Amino acid sequence: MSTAASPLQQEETITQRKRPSKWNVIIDNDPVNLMEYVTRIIRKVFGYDENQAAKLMMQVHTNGKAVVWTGAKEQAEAYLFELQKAQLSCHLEEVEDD
Amino acid sequence: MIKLSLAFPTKALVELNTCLKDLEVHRPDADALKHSDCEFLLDQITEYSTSSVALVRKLITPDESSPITRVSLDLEDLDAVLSGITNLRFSLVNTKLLDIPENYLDGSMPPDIETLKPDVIRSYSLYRFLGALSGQLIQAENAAQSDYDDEEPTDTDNEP
Repeated sequence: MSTAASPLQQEETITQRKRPSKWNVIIDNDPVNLMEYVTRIIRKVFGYDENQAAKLMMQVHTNGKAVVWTGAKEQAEAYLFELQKAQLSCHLEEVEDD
Repeated sequence: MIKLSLAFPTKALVELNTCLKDLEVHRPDADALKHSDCEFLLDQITEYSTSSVALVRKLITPDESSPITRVSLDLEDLDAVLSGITNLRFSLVNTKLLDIPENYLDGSMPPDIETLKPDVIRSYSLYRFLGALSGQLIQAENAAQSDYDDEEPTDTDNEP
């Protein structure tokens, strides 16, 4: 009995592989930037409200880092550029598939 | 356009006075700081970063005849000012504070703490002063924004 995948199965596999990956934008804690400043930058870059931005800033402060946004790579890179321009320590991380 | 204007923030004023103390221009009463003190401090900051000092200068509108001072700037300028302050703080940390252990290691500076102490204290004072100023400006911005939002007419205000 043949074990080769049918054309339909192959197509499904290709479709799954082509699914665009998601990326986390992560802000790292640093000893220079003030808490108020980090909150302000998060608000301005992502458009979050004061409470949400302050919550994320506290995560950065207490855990050393926080995921502040997740989505397409191109947009994640644009956000990263804005955060770096504001002197925040940050990086991108690809979200692993389940 | 929202105009941001506040009395020179108390916390920053205390830090400013600490700076001046470290620079041996100490005034016992922080409220009695004078225009000349301010100019002196700004000249000291110039030593560290000529690009940022213009932005910090922009914050301070001293009146020769009265104690310092008010911070007055357009809210639109705040991004540039905060960016300048942040750059200057990073510059102080990177070039004046963190470099010192490395300089010790490679022997390019004399291993005499007394020689280094004034520079470290001065840098750290300026660092704290700028931090306090930055924090207070953001709080003032939030307050100004909140007042502005309260004054904005809502849809229900326009209902007959």
